[in-house]
Amino acid sequence: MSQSVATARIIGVSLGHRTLAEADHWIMELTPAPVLACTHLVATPYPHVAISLLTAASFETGPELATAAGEAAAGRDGRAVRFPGVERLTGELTVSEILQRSSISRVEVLGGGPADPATVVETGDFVRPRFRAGELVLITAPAAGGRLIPFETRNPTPCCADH
Amino acid sequence: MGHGHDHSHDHSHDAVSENDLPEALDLSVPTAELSSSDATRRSFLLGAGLLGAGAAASVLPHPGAAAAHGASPQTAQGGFRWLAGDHHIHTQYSSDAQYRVIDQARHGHAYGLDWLVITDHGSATHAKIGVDKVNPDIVKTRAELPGLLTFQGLEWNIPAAEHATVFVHPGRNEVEVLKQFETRYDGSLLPSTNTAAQNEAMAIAGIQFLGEQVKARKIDGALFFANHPARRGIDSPHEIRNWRDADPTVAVGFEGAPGHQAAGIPAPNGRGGARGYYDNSPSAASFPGYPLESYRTWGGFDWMTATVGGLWDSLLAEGRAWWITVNSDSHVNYLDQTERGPGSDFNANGKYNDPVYNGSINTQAGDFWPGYYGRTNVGSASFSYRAVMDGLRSGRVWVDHGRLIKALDARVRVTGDRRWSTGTPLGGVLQVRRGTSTELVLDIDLQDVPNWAGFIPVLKRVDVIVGTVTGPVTDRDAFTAPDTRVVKSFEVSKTSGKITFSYDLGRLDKPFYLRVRGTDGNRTQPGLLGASVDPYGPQLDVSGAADPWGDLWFYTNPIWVLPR
Repeated sequence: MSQSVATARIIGVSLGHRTLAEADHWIMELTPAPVLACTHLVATPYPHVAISLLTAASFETGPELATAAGEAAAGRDGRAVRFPGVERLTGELTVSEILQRSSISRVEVLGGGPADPATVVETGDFVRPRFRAGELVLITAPAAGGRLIPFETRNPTPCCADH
Repeated sequence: MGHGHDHSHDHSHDAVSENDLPEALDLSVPTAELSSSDATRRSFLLGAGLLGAGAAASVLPHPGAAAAHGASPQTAQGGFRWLAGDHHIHTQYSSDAQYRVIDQARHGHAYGLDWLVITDHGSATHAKIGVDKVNPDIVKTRAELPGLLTFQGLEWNIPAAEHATVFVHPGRNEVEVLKQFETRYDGSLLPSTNTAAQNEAMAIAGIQFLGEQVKARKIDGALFFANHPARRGIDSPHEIRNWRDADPTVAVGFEGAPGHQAAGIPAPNGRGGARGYYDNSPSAASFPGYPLESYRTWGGFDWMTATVGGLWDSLLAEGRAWWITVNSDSHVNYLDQTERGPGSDFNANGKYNDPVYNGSINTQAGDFWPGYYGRTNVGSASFSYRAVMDGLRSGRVWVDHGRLIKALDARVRVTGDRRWSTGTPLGGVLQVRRGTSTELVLDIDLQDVPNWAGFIPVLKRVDVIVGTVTGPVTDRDAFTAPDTRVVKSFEVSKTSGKITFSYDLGRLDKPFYLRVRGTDGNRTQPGLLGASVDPYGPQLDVSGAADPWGDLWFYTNPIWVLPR
């Protein structure tokens, strides 16, 4: 384990996943779980979702997707699926609890600036912050009861429904 | 190249230019060169204000057109008959819907609509069966409801993009043309190996195909409106521009507000979802430049329209004529008590069996019946299919939710001209000499009868939005208009009767356009581009708590004022 940590580095992988749900599913199956795993939307050679990982492991990318993998590795605007503390972001949490429990450094309200630290966020057990200027930012949207929900909600048909 | 009038030029080239317009519509053809019937038609169209911005991709003069434009300023008079309609309605011929044509038509008519378009989803089953089978139902509905204009259309899967309403003027070939169009161009029927570029080209070809059917006189008209354009971020700005340019007599606008306006009604009385079903996130197919704000509705409207200085304004500031509508997108309606008929086999029959009463109340449905909530009001020269299509093509359209107002007449005229019959209506272009003063005159009949939620809406504020016309963009993916802003907000204190505003637009020094927006004032916030651009813009709709009746807006289409 300590050996893995010592050799962990950011790598890019592209398996041609067409949807975020497919890429998320692939990431969630990784053992051991990477410290950081992000998705990146790429347009070439066709629109798909590439992945960047902070990991000691190696993953093969086909030659036709090598550019996409490289884009993901270099990408600064990833959408984080795995990140420190993500497993503790479940149920209802205040904004300040989210900041304390995880490596998310800002919570913002869509079209409205920073979220009040005391506001409750209904995480839906599905939190996908985005990197912005080197920081992990969770964008939320107003929901019923004066609460917030993450901007991105889990697909109504969960990615793992067939398993 | 100059437009030959001897018909020796061929039409086989791929790109449709203004040269491919019907001659009566093509302002670059001098009237003297038109056949006498075409000249009569043009003069009729000009006189009725039916020709102008809507007939060309740009309101700006183009080479060879200056004389025609100069000779024919848009000073069409008011007095149109405003016909309310809905261009986006599904029936039992859609795999995710359930009603008969007559169900939708009777409800729409009862709720105050004068015209509607049946738009079942394009698909293999629909192309093979539904497009044929729905026609007799539509024809019968026309006979049963002569006070309602019932168009046949379809909801096109635009290759590489969102859905669109496509519809045609009724006639002998309406089914044949729609069927050919769907079979050749529906995105669901194209090879999955197509690249995005190939699919974008197919979208352009599809729009051009419709225009060619009109020119060949197979049908008397065809129109395209992009539906729920910002829902998934996949209608890029350059695609929208390309559609318009593909054939400006066909591709004329997009939904300013999506349907599904009941989807945000709070639980347990409603679905508790996102208004308009706008709850998506960027995907790999999305245009990467769109911000997350674009994926949600604002006061029930699509971000492209709701943002002052945003995407729609960027098109208008170019001088690009592009219109907005609202609609129901009705599939399954809120509080309805029917369900799909038992024993249905959609794939085999191309339809669900007729709906049956089931005794329960569907609080989970996200749609309203046509006419129940949104209206697209079209200034029409008469009560006819052609007049509605001409009005839509000309942008003589304003829209509202929840019957916020009863009626609206907006005109721009030379300052001081008090004749009732003058003024350039919505969608029009007023051309005056530089230095001439113009003014906006706005007559609004305040609502005096309850809407379908049982209350009389109260108009609180009217905003006048103005932008400089800066000409064609160099970046076809541009989606901001930095010079467009709210220049005047009128607070409305009257609660009944008619209000008349006039707003001094000043002496003309550079070309500009204006559009008008109004609200019940219940939910406003500074616009996305700042309070200096839009101090009282629409608010982001709250997920799970968006009572559509508590947040009402109207929007008009633009009027341009250009130096002669």
